[in-house]
Amino acid sequence: MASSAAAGRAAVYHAVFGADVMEKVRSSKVLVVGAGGIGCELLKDLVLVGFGHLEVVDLDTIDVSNLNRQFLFRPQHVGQSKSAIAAQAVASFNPRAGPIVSHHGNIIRGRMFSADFFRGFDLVINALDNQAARSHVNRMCLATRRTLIEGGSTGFAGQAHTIRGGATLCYDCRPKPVQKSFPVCTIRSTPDKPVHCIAWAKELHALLVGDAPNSVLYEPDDAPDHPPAAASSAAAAGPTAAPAADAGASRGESVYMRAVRRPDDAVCDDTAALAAWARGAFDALFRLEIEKKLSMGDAYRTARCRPTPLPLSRCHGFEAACEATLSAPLPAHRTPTLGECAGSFLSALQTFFSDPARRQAAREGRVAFDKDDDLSMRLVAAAANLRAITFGIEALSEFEIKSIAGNIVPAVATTNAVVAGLEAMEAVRALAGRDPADASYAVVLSTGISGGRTVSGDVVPPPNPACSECGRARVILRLDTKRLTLRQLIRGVLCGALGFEEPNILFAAAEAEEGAATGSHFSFLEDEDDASLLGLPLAALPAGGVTSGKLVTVDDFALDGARVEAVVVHVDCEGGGEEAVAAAVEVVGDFSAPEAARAAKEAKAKQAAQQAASAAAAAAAAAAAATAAGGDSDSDDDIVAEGSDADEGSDGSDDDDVFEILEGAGPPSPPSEDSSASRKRPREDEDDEPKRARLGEA
Amino acid sequence: MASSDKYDRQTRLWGAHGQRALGEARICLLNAGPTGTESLKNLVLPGCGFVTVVDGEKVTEGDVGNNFFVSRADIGSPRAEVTLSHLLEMNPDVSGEARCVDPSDLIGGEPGFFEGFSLVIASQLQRDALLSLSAVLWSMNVPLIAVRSYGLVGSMRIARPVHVCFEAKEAQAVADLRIANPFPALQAFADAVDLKSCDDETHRHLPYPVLLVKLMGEYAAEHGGQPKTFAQRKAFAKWVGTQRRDITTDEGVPIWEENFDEAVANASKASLPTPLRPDVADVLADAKLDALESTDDDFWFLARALRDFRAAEGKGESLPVSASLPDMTATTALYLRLNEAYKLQATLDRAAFCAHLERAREAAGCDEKRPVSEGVIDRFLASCQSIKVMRYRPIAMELSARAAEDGAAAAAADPAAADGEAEAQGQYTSAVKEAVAELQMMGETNVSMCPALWAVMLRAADDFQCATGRFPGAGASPDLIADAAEVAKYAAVHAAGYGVADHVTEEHAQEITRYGACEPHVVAATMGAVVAQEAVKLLTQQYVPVDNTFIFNGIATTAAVATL
Ligand SMILES: [Zn+2]
Repeated sequence: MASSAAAGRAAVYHAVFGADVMEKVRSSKVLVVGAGGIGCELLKDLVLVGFGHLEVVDLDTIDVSNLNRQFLFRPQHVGQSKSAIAAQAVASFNPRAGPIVSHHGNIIRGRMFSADFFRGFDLVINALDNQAARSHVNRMCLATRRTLIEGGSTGFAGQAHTIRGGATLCYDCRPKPVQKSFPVCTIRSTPDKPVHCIAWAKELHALLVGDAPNSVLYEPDDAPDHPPAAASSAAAAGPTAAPAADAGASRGESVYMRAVRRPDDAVCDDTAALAAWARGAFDALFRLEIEKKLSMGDAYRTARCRPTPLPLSRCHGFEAACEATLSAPLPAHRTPTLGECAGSFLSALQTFFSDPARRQAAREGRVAFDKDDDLSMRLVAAAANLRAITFGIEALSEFEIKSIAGNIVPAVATTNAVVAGLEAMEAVRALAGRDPADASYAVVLSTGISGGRTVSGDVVPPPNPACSECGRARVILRLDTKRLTLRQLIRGVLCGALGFEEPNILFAAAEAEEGAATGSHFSFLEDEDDASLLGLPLAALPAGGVTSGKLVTVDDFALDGARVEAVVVHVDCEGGGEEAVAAAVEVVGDFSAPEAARAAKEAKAKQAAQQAASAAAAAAAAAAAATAAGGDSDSDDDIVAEGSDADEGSDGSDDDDVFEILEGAGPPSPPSEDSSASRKRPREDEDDEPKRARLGEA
Repeated sequence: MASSDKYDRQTRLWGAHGQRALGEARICLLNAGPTGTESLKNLVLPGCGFVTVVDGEKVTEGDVGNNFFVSRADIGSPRAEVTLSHLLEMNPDVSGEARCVDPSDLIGGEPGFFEGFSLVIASQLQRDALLSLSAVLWSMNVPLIAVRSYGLVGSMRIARPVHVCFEAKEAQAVADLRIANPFPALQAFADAVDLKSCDDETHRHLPYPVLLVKLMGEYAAEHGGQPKTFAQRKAFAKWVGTQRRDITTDEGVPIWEENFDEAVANASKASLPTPLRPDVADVLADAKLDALESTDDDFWFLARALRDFRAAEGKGESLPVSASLPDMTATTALYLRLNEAYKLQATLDRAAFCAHLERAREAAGCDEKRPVSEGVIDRFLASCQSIKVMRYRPIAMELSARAAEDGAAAAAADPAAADGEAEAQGQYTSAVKEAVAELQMMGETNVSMCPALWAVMLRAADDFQCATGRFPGAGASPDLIADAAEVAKYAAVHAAGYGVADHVTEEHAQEITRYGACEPHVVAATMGAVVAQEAVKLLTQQYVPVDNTFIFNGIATTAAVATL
């Protein structure tokens, strides 16, 4: 349209938003957290609207798989900082805006991202792909009273909405889907689904090339008289080698630990010996271990899937497949044959250890599983399928395994672009200072799922009173959990900054630590509990210690009613002395123990007075009623009403239409399984003719 | 050593075959303003095949800063060439061409140009040009997406005579396990089971379809037939639950038979064949299936074969069996044995289905040398519970709409003339009224922000443009008050037609006039993303595209879909 072409950008926005709003847009400081799929879009949109002071944080560097969604990046940028390249790329589009400040760092752990850093912005916008970082930014914004615009996408679905502490729900007001975990015994012994085999394969990856002692498959070796050399020579003898088989005879001793011990250089540099070592590992894992498990009697009596030992000789064509996969991977979209799985497993192991750099990293336990590392992925896919086949579970294609192993959430440029566009709109609206009740619309997309809705707006629900983030007194403690001692925490932080007198500290035990020895909680009160703990760094305390993300509750017998929940966030102070560590502690949020105690006391007194008053009123009313008619008294209503008032807020959040979708939050589920789809599923026991009338046909 | 496939994450949504369809697509964009280029950007990134940019303008000062795909250095150059080259920079897999010509000239002067495109995206096209274009594309069955960003309002309209969805992926289609009408291998499996004498291990691991077939046999023998009423079905389900055994472990701990829980939950399936989903029923009832021509899309032949299969082998109630069995309580051995039975039946059903397909193709005179590919047949059978056909309303019918009463009055006055006119003229649909009513039902007292009302306003703005040659509020020094009053008049006519006269106010007209037909990037970016989303659905024949208009209200950040 000719008119808009002539009008220019500034005129366009003045026309639609007005001059004062545009001045706010120009002068406000906005923080964008994340420069990925949504972040790239968002930065472009914000710059073209005319935002004048933008800063962007991202901890990632650019990967090839980003290029088709994160359109600010080009192949030559692979390996460089996302935030820096994104900032450079968009800044040129609005020369009148100031330069975009980029920060390459972790928004949770980076020391510079303090409360003051957040306070420096008028508005914070999330463009993140993981739950932990979103929760953290949400918490920081609540504590520093910043308006946050939250957005996210999964496949064809996404959402964008404004969060204003106290006025709207916060990011954590709705429970998040919990990442599924499986009992260790299901992984180690009784898998019955492909996902169990994939979890096993990832543990095996750690055992073979990663941090072996932390793998659930690690079996401590009680026989220190086997030097590493013995392992290599035994393995070099090939799958028929006796030592491993002997070990299997004695119950309880591992039949595979020696076979999977990382081969020495002599073996690695000898192609034939390395191949023999790989076969030895195969034989121990898929034949001997299974035979051992079967020989242990009742292990599989109740299991869904009873395994069959898998000798390499049953894997037809593995030699050819091994040869072929040394140079080219298997097709990703087809389910491989047994022989291909075996061949691919062997060749992946050989490739790992024939490459000196990888070999070294593996020996140092530095190779963490990464779905985007083709070799690691191949090893895991092959191992998962071999495991599945021994247990009679269906094998999958590498593509499917990668989805599950990498928790890959489908992502597409279009959804990210919708979410970013809506976030940019919300940003302008937030600065326009609309009434929160008017401006805070949640936007939910269910674009791909049905033709019915593409983008739909909804009122952002009010805060959930039961929310642990915005519903209670909370502070954030940013400190170095590995270096700050319990004594420093008590003296310097709790008694110092927060004003406690005799703080009692309580935190839940880490799941893995929970048990008879430690109990489910750790509680500490100075003068009563073991004073030797005072000198320990927080992370080294019993019951798993205080680590990043831990919720610590503090109360005080001396200050009745003073109680606070503190979220501890680890900030690294490596190289700093005791004083530097103490000085680096940051308390985010307003809390003072004496004041809390005073408030609690007042509230208590008030409540008591009210109770006394209503009791008196009730007594008076009852007396009056009794004298008047001797009939039934309704004076109890006053007291009941008080109680029901308090309950009112808690039932308003049953809102299926706003659903949280988190990139990277868990295993992907097909879009058709979203809440709105499942609600529509017809009841099976209905005899009535299915309702086929549709809108518009009436 | 990073992942080499940059399409990895999207392929998880639409599969390798969807990616292939996208990679083969030829897309034409008319007008390379912000909305148009944003739309195309979101299709170039995921790897569409070929793009043609048609634009007659030169880059101006006004484009810079409002369109991400032009820069200051490009001022004065043809906008089609500039935007194309910046777009293609983003993805080396995509190629394209620029046509530096006004889209209206192309539509009027060279309609054959549009033949062979998989999709045409018309951005910010004025009404008369849009009407001509949609008529041209309609006759070629080329899908059209018409999109516009207008101030804080956006709209997108899809038009195409027929669109078929191979994989609608709507509600989760319930797998038909054929419990009510077991195929021979399933029946034989059940017959071979003896619930009385089998050991406990087997009893608590029998897959529930086998249990139900078995128990329904016993029930029917005893009651002289299958349950027929709701009450009888309930009674059957209850009875199934009573057939559990009291099993304990060696230590005396009771074991609950979970397979019986599953059987009770699915008991109704033992006497009720799985119904067709309404969309599938519509496809199978489509008149098109009886008038197939050799040039028709494979979809129609597959649908015809599905219908014939259901009538013959399916005995009027079953579709081909799926080879994949859902997870259920069973030992591995029993599960695998049952799965074998389903696989066997799936193979037989596929063969029968293919025979029907061949007959239908032969009858229509299809080329034997170009058969439907095996992969397409497999995918069709795997998702045959989720096929769908959509027929769009022509844009011409929407824009020539008159109120139902007007049409009736005209017909009464001159039946012969009205008949001819009815061909070209449509009626106002009830979609706008319904959208408002829905908001009211949800307790909204102020419905002025209802997105569908803004579609009415865009139409009024177009009326104004057709009459005056400029959009309201646009031009050198517009009289905003006079323009708004004029817009309000047009709006009143359509509001009455759509049955929402009470809800379209002067404020709506003032707001639309205030925009002066500007195209802010932030609205363009959102609309461009929505367009690309729908384009992917149209091109891959997966998911269900919008029917037929999407309206975005950026004032309140709401949106709606309406059939206009
Ligand atoms: Zn909350």
